[in-house]
Amino acid sequence: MNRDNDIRRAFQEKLGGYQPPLAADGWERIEHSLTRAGAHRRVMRRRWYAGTAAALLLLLVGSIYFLRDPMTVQETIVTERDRLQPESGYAPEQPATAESAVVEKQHTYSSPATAPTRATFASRRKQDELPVRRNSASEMLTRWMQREGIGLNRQPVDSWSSLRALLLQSERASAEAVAKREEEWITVIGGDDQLLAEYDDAMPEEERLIVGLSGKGGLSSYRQSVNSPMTLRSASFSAENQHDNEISKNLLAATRASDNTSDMEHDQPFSFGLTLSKSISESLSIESGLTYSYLSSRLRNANANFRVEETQKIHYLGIPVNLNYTLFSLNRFNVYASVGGMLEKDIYGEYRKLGTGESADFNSTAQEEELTKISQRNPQLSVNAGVGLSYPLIDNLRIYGKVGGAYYFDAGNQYKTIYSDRKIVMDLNLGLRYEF
Amino acid sequence: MDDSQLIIACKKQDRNAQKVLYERYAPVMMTVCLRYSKEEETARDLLHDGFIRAFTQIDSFRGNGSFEGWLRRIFVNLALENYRKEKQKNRFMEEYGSLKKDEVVVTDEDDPLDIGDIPREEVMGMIRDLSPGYRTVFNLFIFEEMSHREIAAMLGITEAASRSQFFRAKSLLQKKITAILNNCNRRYNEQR
Repeated sequence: MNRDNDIRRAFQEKLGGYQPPLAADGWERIEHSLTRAGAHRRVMRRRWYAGTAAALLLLLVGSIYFLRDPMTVQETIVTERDRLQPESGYAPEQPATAESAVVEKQHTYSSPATAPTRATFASRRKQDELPVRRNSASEMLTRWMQREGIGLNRQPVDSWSSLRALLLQSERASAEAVAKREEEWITVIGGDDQLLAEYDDAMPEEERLIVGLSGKGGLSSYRQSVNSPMTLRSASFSAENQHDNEISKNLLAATRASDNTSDMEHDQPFSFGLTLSKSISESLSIESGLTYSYLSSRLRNANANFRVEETQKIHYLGIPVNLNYTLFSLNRFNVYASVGGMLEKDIYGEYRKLGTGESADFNSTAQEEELTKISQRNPQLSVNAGVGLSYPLIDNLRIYGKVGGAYYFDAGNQYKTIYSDRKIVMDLNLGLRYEF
Repeated sequence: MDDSQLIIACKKQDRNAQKVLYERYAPVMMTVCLRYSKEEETARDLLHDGFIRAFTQIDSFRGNGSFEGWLRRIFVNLALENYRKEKQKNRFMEEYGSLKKDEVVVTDEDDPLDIGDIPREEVMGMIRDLSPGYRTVFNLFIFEEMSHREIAAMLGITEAASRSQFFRAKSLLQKKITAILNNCNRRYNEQR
């Protein structure tokens, strides 16, 4: 031993002050690499922030609409109804006040084909059944008069024909926009003698059936780093049982070395599925369907001389059951809350382990690769809740987004997943719904 | 500016502090890299990668030990990782390389490795010329001052294997030292 110490001392003294030449561009290369790595990290961070911001924006928009006073809209509706009220008692002989002039223009400015229809419709219906038409011709006329400087308190228009000409001119300019809006608000049923206009949302809720196509992504992954060996298999599988040959025992011994570091990462899960909803009351609907989910995980045990890497991919099919409650509808947005649960079972799983290290004599490398098809023993049960927003795209097709979270119960399965390790997974759900 | 101040600045990704730290420790770490590498280019790559790793993981330095020791550990680990990768590439090649079994030099236990008269560059060259396995154990034993028990635990080999590797490395160095000294003596005699 003394000789070994002498050798140590001799070599350390000899090379103690050794100053090898450094590359002239050494620092520049390092600085360049650090800048590039920093830029990459910034890009990843920005993407993460953008995703989070999108989710928050969705919530914010929902909150803004929630906090707005819904009476504002009701006021509009009342005003509209009041303005239409004189139609039922329409009499050309009455003195033409500014207000009544406006009402009369409603009949006059409309095209000959539609004017009788509207008159009939208005006169045959009770006041409380009048359709809600926020962009009706009367309102357009009022706005146009205000814009043109024809105040409501001015004298009645002298000539019906001149007013009609003006109105027709205005009508032509915005004919397409009006027609588009009218289509959205009115559904006409029946023949020429009995036309019935229905507000499109007046259809009984109980009859609605909604088919949905959705995609869901987790908003966070799970990462754990420790200085002791880990495995993707849970504690019910002892580490010794996984290392039953000589090489594997060496790998296991290596993972127990003092400088061992273990990094485990569960990626964000993503899912997509098809759902069917049925309204059970005006605001409440029940939803179920079939959902596919994909989970992937990685684990790396390493020390100076050994490395064991595990990867795991599990595919699930699940049956969700959710209750969606429409909190309120404003303009064309629907804001809703959702609670429910899902039962999932894996349909295919793959577990791969790659171990690299030195054999006992140190002069040869050992490598072990294991690929196993795996299956979780028990189904996975979860409950979830979220807040969403939907918006009509065309006809009965709506796009929606929902931010929520799910809690995954401990299923006591052999393989660790983000479900078992994180328990609560926040997610963003985007999709399309078609209402029949 | 002392190390602790530089480290605090480095944790904030201060480029100037990183540069000062690099200039302060690069020569020492380059020596470490050279000792574990046969090729100088490999050593330069190790130096580069080691500092990148150090600067990106500097948050994990808690100040419990010396910074140089922490930094050295990074470079040693990196060198060992590199060794493993290289070995993986050449897994079918004969590892013993320069020392076949019938060439094992049995040295006299009392014969010390006398390197006093040999220039540093030569000594460094001799170490770097060792086969990777011998070089690794030799470096860990001599310069990292690890015991064979620690080396065995670290590399996942038996303590006897570590002793054997070191013994063979020492034998090879002894052979080279003898050759160099004989060569010097012969030249000296020729000049006389």
